[in-house]
Parts: sequence; structure tokens; C-alpha cells
Amino acid sequence: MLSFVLRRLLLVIPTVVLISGLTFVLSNLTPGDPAFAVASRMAGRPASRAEVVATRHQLGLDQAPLSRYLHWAARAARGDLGRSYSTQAPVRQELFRRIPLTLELALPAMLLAMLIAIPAGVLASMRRNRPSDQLMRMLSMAGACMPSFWLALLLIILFSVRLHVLPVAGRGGYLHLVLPVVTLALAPAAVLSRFTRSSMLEALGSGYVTTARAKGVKESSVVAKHALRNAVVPVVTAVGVNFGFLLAGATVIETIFVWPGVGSLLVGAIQQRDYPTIEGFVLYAGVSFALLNLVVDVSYAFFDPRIATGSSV
Amino acid sequence: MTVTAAPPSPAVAHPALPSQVGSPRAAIGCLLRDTTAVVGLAIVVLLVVGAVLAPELAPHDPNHVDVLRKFAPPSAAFPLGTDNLGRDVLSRLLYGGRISIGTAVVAGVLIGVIGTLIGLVVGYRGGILDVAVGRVVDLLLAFPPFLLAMAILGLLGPGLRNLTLVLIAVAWASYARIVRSAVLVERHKEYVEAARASGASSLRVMARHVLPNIFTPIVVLVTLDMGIVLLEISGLSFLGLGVSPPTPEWGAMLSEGRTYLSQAPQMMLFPGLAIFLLVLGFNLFGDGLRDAFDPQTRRLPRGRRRWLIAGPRAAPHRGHRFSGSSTPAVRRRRGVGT
Amino acid sequence: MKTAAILRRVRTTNLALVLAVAMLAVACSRASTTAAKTASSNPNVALTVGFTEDQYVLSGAQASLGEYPLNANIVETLATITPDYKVVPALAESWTLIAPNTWRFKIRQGVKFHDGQALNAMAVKVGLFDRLAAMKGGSSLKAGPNSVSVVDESTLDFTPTVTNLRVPEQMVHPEYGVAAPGSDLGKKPVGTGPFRFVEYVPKERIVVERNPDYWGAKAKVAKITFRFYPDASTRRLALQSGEIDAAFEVPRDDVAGLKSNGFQILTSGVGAYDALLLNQHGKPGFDILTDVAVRQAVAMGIDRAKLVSGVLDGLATTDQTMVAPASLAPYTSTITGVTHDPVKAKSMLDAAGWVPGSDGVRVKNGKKLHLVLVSGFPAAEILRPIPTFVQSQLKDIGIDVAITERPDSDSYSAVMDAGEGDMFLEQGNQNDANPGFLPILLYYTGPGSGTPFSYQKLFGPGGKFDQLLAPALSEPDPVRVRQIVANSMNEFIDVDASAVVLAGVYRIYGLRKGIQGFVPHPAFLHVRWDTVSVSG
Repeated sequence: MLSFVLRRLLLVIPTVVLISGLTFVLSNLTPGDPAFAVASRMAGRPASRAEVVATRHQLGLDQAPLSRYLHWAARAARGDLGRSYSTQAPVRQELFRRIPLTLELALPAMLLAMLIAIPAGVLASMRRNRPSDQLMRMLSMAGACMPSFWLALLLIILFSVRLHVLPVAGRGGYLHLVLPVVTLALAPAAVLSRFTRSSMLEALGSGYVTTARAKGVKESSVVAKHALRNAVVPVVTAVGVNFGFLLAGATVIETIFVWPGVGSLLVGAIQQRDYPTIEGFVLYAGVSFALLNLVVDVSYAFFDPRIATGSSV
Repeated sequence: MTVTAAPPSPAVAHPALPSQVGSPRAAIGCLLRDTTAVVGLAIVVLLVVGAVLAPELAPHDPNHVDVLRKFAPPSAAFPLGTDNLGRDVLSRLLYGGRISIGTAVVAGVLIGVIGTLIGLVVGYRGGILDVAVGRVVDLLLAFPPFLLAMAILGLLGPGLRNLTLVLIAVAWASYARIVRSAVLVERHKEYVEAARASGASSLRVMARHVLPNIFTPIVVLVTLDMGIVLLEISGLSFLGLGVSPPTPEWGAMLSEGRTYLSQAPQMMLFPGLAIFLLVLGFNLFGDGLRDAFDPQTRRLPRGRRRWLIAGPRAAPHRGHRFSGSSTPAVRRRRGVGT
Repeated sequence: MKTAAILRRVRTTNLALVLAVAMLAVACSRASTTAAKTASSNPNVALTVGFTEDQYVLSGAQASLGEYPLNANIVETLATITPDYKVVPALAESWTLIAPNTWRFKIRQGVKFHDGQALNAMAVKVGLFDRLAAMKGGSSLKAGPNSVSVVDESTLDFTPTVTNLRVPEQMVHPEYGVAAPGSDLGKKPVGTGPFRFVEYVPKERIVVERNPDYWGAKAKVAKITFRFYPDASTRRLALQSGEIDAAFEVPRDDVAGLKSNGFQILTSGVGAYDALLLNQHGKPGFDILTDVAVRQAVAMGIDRAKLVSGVLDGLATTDQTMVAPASLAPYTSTITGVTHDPVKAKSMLDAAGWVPGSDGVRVKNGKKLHLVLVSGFPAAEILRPIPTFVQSQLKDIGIDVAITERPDSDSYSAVMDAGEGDMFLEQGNQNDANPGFLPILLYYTGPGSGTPFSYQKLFGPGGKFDQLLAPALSEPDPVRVRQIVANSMNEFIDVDASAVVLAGVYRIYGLRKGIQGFVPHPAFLHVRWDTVSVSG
């Protein structure tokens, strides 16, 4: 198990090196001079040539790309991701400030998704092919196909513009959480409910459940004690995977709801061509997704030891 | 350990792929009996026809500006109302379908084709190429594709061409992985060995023997993927990374409509509905297609059929452990979050 | 057993749901009480204001927290400008040009920074000019390390590194605020202004409170929270739902709706313009507009009145001065602008050899009259409906327009650097009282203009425009400068059609009922909040 974890941890390194290199190459392929944008933004008007030259020097853009990458990589290895083009503040500081803000949305959203999906999935599996099952399948299919940015706008129209019960956007009290969390929870809820249902069906169809039934154990206790306990393991790990994707989905939702998390940091950085911030974000995302995947795999291997002994990469 | 039951079929070699292809006639019959699949197909066909026949069907020029009739509510002349420049929303929606559906189909098919080709070559050749491509695949699968596409597009700059390229660049990997493992299974089977022994070139062996076996499942996956690609396109366009105005595209229209949320809800209502319906259509049809072409599930009772597949598809174990245990569709759907 | 534990946890999470619902209910009731509080006529009232994007620079010599672009009235400048672009004293009581390039400032006495330090000549040197000298790329005031000499407690001489006769008109820009010596404009700005810094949460809000020791009239509200809403429609919805009391830059489309819901809409004088800059030195493929007749036809082909009334909801003007009209007074009318005349435009195109083709697009020597319109400065979104309108207008006179929209100024400038466009749509603001600043910076190619950059290369007409504008560089009298600039812009716009000015743009502020004393300013960065009060 330990060597499995170590092997997986080591794999994170080439991933991060490759992805940061790719980001750097791409940022150099882009037409346009970020120095102009930065200088113009500071001046509030088109920047003059002198201002652009000075800004280019200040940002280190007058050095060769390779030496810039090596400098960046050397500093990144020490945890220094450079400074944002737009605020001149350290990228790492801004990233770390915003990660908890994204979690402020993502954790309740995941919780909400689980609270909806797991009971719904279990129920549906118990009433297979009955109307309630069909309804859940339709809802989860609709949920998976719904563009979340559309849903967000519909919810804003209804609850903020028409009914005036929830704030339009921004971070504030609990009320500010409601719309973004609900929107964000939709996709994982849809996927998780399908997954829970199929895991439950798998468990309900297995031999020991049949045996338990044959022994005359009550159906509710068959479900709770035998089926659910076996279905919970894959579901819990699925939650882990879904959480990663929920974090990714937060980019659009944060933009719509003006939520100052990492997602809107990326969107803002893209709009302003703030390369250090984009690169820093990619690095952060690479590391965190690699670690998240690792946690998911390890937890899975932990629940099912057959996996760790398998050897295929 | 109290866990005794196996998790949903990790033992199946590639559960994402219907392992054998049933006879086409049986499959089609089965497909037509599947109401939801027929509904899905009908939605897709309707929207595609609308887009293809846009010049005939559209009541107005989609880019004709008449500021004096802006924000008109739905009426006989403008069935879905007008937008902030007085352009007909219905006409823009129909023309927009050409870009939205067209891009989704082109990108979806190219993702499937490129991924399949890479998987075939890598699986068959093996060696250092396999290892190298495997690393890249690992890398791509470690990220939610939407996030990766967004970051790359942010660096490359927006535009429809870049958007399509980026979507292909981040999404081929899962196909390559699935096809590669399918090839590995087939490669050592007797008939392939025999064909090779009889002097057939490796390319021909692949084309003749391996490809037909994986063709149908790949088509199913591409269909399912089409909806995801559409969601990604519209999501990226919504963020301003896709087509530039005045070209009508559903995501971009939705994004424009966001500005006029309260005066002209039709501007965001209908493009969103179109995206939703098309994604739904692709998914329903894709699901039906998969069920129909998979004899293993066809034998099962109706409800069970869909979910048996859905289970492993959504399985939490990642691709690098169980080749293809998570299909692009589900994996990527979760990544879109849009 | 593990699974049993998990199940137990599932049960507790259900409990959590119940708790969450209960919390929501509490939060709802709390929200309604705060709403009631803001409605009272308490002089200690707090105000919440919605601003656009948070663009503060937080580090280095350019740090501008609370200062620019959102001026939270923490730090003040030596002089300031009124909404009609008049320069009035602020921290400096007066100034005179005592040598060809030396300005003497009399610093206001009895003023204290928020941290208790006294304002004097030395503090101005440290808190303003030394800061400017440290800026890489320099400031437009042209301050150098040895530019300032402190004469006495209240007197300071400033000698720019290169001749700058527009110092008073330029130093009104909030960037040139006097920060308390030793204070950090990236973290905790300390100034002399009517409001003191309280807290800043990046991209979320900046909070200030009344400065009880202010040297002028004290602020009428106790506290202001500025919240950032990059998206205009979100900002307007926030205003409508009562989350904010006032909003900067309300979308034009929303004005009627807000008015009918009882909100106040205040508009400023014209301080910005939307204009098409015409590429008159284009490379092959983009060289159609080298012909002045075609440029003039383009200018005549656009119905500005329809643009303003239809696309811009009547919330703009047909001013064609580019430079803020008030800053050119009394010479504003020297720039006449171009009248919409499609008939004449067509005949001019005919005369220039562009004859109507079969598909309605004009042709000359087998080449179509096809122009590329590039939009994107400062951001494509701000200009959004205009390119499409221009496209449809020019179609009527037989010009085919393709639109290239670049989302940000960076990629926009890349297109301009490559010269790959015929018309460049921009919105420009005037933030100081120097009318010649932008014309000289962007289009002047005469003596003293330095290495030309893209704007000058593509749009600088040279010749007569340069001759007319050159005297502005050496003219000490600000009124005479206005006349010079007006004459040169007459050449630029009316005669040479170097640019097609589409509209004069003003700022639109939305306020809820009961907010009083707000003075709309054509430039956001000069809005003052100390005069604002709340009643009812």
C-alpha cells in the first residue's frame, strides 16, 4: 500500500513539470504584448511606447522565453509563483486567499448533492422501474444535461429579480450562498444519484442479498444492512472524484455570482492576460487534482485491497 | 474488512465498451422500441434540420439590425422576440445552431477519430511510443477538460478555430486509452497472430481486424460525447472565449442575453433551452444506441439495462488503473460543470 | 463497523440539512431588519456603493489602493477638477510658473493626515513626488529624483525632467494623490481625505469611514462600503434588489426600468467618446482608407442620431469633439463634426471609383469595398452593440464591413500592431484637464514626438494636423492651449476624417431614493462622496 502511494506521488512530479512547461510555451505563442495591456490598464488609456517598454522590462518580458521559464520554474519550486501582472501582488498569496472562498461554495454544494443524490439513488433502486424510479431517472438526466450557467440565470431571474428573496450576487451572509450552491450542486447530484442507484442495484443483485432474503430478513434491513453497506464504498469514492469536477465547474458559477474564488481568479486572469496568475493557477490545479485523484485511488484501494496488488499502468 | 461484494464490475476488461457487437438488425429493432432513444433522436434531428434549413426557415436575416424594434416580446412577426439590436431571436437561434451543432459534431467526431487512431497505433506498436503517449494521456486525464480548455484558450486567445482545436486537444486522450486497451486484448488473439503470420502488414491487420470490433462502441461514445462537447463550447463561449459577435452561437447569445436579463429574458431563455434540449437529445439517443448495440445489456430487463452500464461508467476508479473504466462522457460531464 | 459509521454519518448529515434550513430562515429575517435600518434617516448611516471591476495595483511604486481607478476619497491631490473640467485648488492653495519649467506650489496649512502627521511641503515631496520618481516608465508629470526642492514649510518647487507646461491640468489625476509619508498604498492607504481606510478584501470590497478631522466640510455619511461588480447587469440587479444604494455605470438599457421603479438616474457631462480610428497608412489589403474621400464617405454614412437614440437609448450625445467638450471651452464649436448624408457619401464613393457591384457591395478594379472593423479597447463588451450597428449602416452605402472583436486590450493591440484592420473602434476617457494630452500622445508625429508607435503609425495624419498641434507643446497659457487643440482636432475630424467620432459618452450613475448631494462626474475617478447624504 505504501509503495502504491509513493509511486503515485512520484507521478505527480512529471505531470506538473509537463503541464507548467506547456503553459509557458502556449503563453509565448500568443500574439500580443501583455505589457501593452498592463500599461494601458494602469494609465486608463492606450499606453505610450515608453510606458510599454518600461512595463515590459518591469515584468521581465524583455528576457528570452527559455530563461524566463527557468527563472519561473526555479522560483516556483521554492513556492514563489511570481507577481500578478494586474495587481502586482504575489500570485501565491492571492491563490491561497481564494482557495477557501471556493471551498465555501464547493463543500456545501457537495454536501447538498450527496443529501439529494444518495437517498434518491437508494430509493430509486428499491423501486426499480416504478414511477418514482422513472421520475428520478428523468430528473437526473435533465440535471446532467442542464447548462449550469443557464440554470444560474433562471434562478437569478426567479429568486432575485422577481421574488426579491435572495441576493443577486456577491459574498455576504448565508443568503448569498444559496443560489451558487444550488446551481453548483446540480450536476454532481445528477451523476451521483445515477451512480448510487446502479451501485445499489449491483449490491441488491448479489448473492448474499439473495441469501439474506431467502433467510426471511426484512426487506428494509436487507437494504440498510446488506446492500447499502456495500454500495456506500464506491459511492463515497465517487464523491471524491465528483468533488474535483465540481471545483472545475465553479469557474463559471463564480463568474456569474461574482464570487471571489479561484475560479473567478482564473476567468479574470484570462480576460486580463495575466499570465503569471494563469500559470500559477494551472500549477495549483495540476497539483490539487493529482492529489485528489491519489486520495480517491488510495481510499478505493483501502476499501478493496485487490486493487493495490494489481499491476497495470 | 467487511466488504465482500465486488465493486461494480472492475473485473470486466473495458466495461465502458459494449464488448461485442450484436447484429445490426436486432440492434435497430431494439433501438426503435426504446421510446426515450427515439425521443432523443427526434430532438437531435429536429434541431439539426432547423440549423441546416436555417436560410429557408428563418423569418429574418439573423444579423439585420433594427434598433427601433429592440427588446420586442414574442409576436407573430418575431416568434421568439427580438434582442438588444432588434434582431430576430428565432432566426439567430436557427443560424446559431449551424455554429453550435456544427462545431460540436466536428469536434466530437474529430475527438473520436484522432483518439481512436492514436490508441490503435500506440496499442499496436507499444514500446517507447506507448510509454510517451501514456504519460500525455495521464496528464490530460488528470485534469477536468473544461478547466484545461479554458486555461489553454486563455493563453492562445479566443475564437472558434482555437476553441475547436483546444477541445480536441484535451479530449482525445480517453478514447486513445480505451482503444489502446482494446487493441492490447485483440492483439494476441489467434486470428490476429494468424493474419500477421500470413504476411499482412500491421496496419492492415489493425484496420481489418481490430477496428471493426471497436467501431460501434466508439460511435456510441462519440454520440454521447457530442452533448458534452456542446456544453463545453457554449460554456466557453459564455465566458467570451468562443465565437465573436455578431456571429450567432448559442453560448455567445446566452452570454449577451445575460446583460439584458430582466428587460428581455427571451435573449437568454431560448438559447439556453436549445442547448439543454440538444444535449438531452444526444444523451438520450446515445444511451439508447449503447443499449441497442450491446447484446449483453439487451438481454437484461429494461431498467437494469441502462444502469448496468451507467454504473461502471461513473465508476470512481480512474482510467490509469482500469483502462477505460470511466468513459469520456461521464468523466467529462462532471468536468464541464457548465 | 466502518459502514455502520458511514451510515450514522449519513443520518447526521440529514440533521445538517434541517439545521441549514433553520439557518436560512434566521438569515432571511435578519436581512429584512438590516433593510429597515438603512431606510432610517440616521446621520450615522452607512452607504453601500457598487463599482465596476477591482483594478487596484497592490504593490510597487504604482500601488493605488483606494486611489485609482476607484477613488475612495482617502487620498487627495494638490488640485482637482470639477465636473466641467476646471482645475481648482485642493491640497495646494495656489501654483505659479516661476521659471520656464518650474512650478511653485503653496501647500495648504493646518491639514493633517489620518495618522496625525501634518501636511507640509516635505510631506508632499515624500508622499507624492518621490513616489512618482520611483515609478518605472515614469509618470506623465515627468517627476525625477531631483525634481523637487522644498523652499519652506508650505512652499515647494517642482521642475519636471522634461519641459511640462501642463502640470496643473495633469496633477488632478487621483494617481497623483499625496499619501502620508511612510504609508503603504498597496496595503493601508493613509491620506488627508474626507474618508479613512477601514478594510479591503480584494475583488470583493473596500470600506472607508468618515474622517472626523477633515480639513474641509466633514462627510455626511459615517461609512461607505464599495463593492465590486465587474458585470454591469449584476451591478444593476444588485441596485434593484437593494443590495447597494448607488451604482457606477448603469447599463443604458436599464435606465428606463430603474427610473420607473423609483430609482434616481444621474448623468454627467460628456467626458468620453466612442470613435472609429481609421487606418490611413494601411499596408496592402488594408489600404482602402488611405483615400481621404472614402474616409469622409464612411464618416457621412453613419447616422449618429439613430445610433444615440436607438442603440445607446438616448443616453449619449452626438458630440464629435473626441476631447471632452467642456475642456475645450470656449473653442468647442471649432470642431463641427460630420453630418449624416448617405446620398453625398454614395456620390463621393462613386467619384472615388467605387461603383456598386451586383451584390450591392461597391467594387473598384475588381476589388470589393471591404473593411475590417476591429473592436476591443478598453474592452469589447463596453462597445458591444456598436460594431454591428456600424456594419449595417455602411452596408447601406455599399461598404461591406467585417467585424473582428478582440476581448481585451492586449489582443486588440496585437491586431493594431500588425496593422490588420481598417477601422478601430475605441472608447476613450478624459481624466484630467489637459485637452491636448491624448491627441499629442496618440496621433502627433511632429517635432518632439519620439519614436512613433502603432497609433501614430496607423492614424497619425501628420502634415497640417501636426503643424496646428505643435504649438501646444510650448504654450504656457491653458486657454490658448484649448484653442490650439480645438483647431487641430477640427483638422483631424472634420477635414481629414482621421477618425469617425460616433458619440459623446457620459457617465450614468444609479442611486436609490433618498440619496442626496451626489454630483455626477464625467470621470469616475473624480467622484466625491463627502457631499452625499441620505434622507428618508
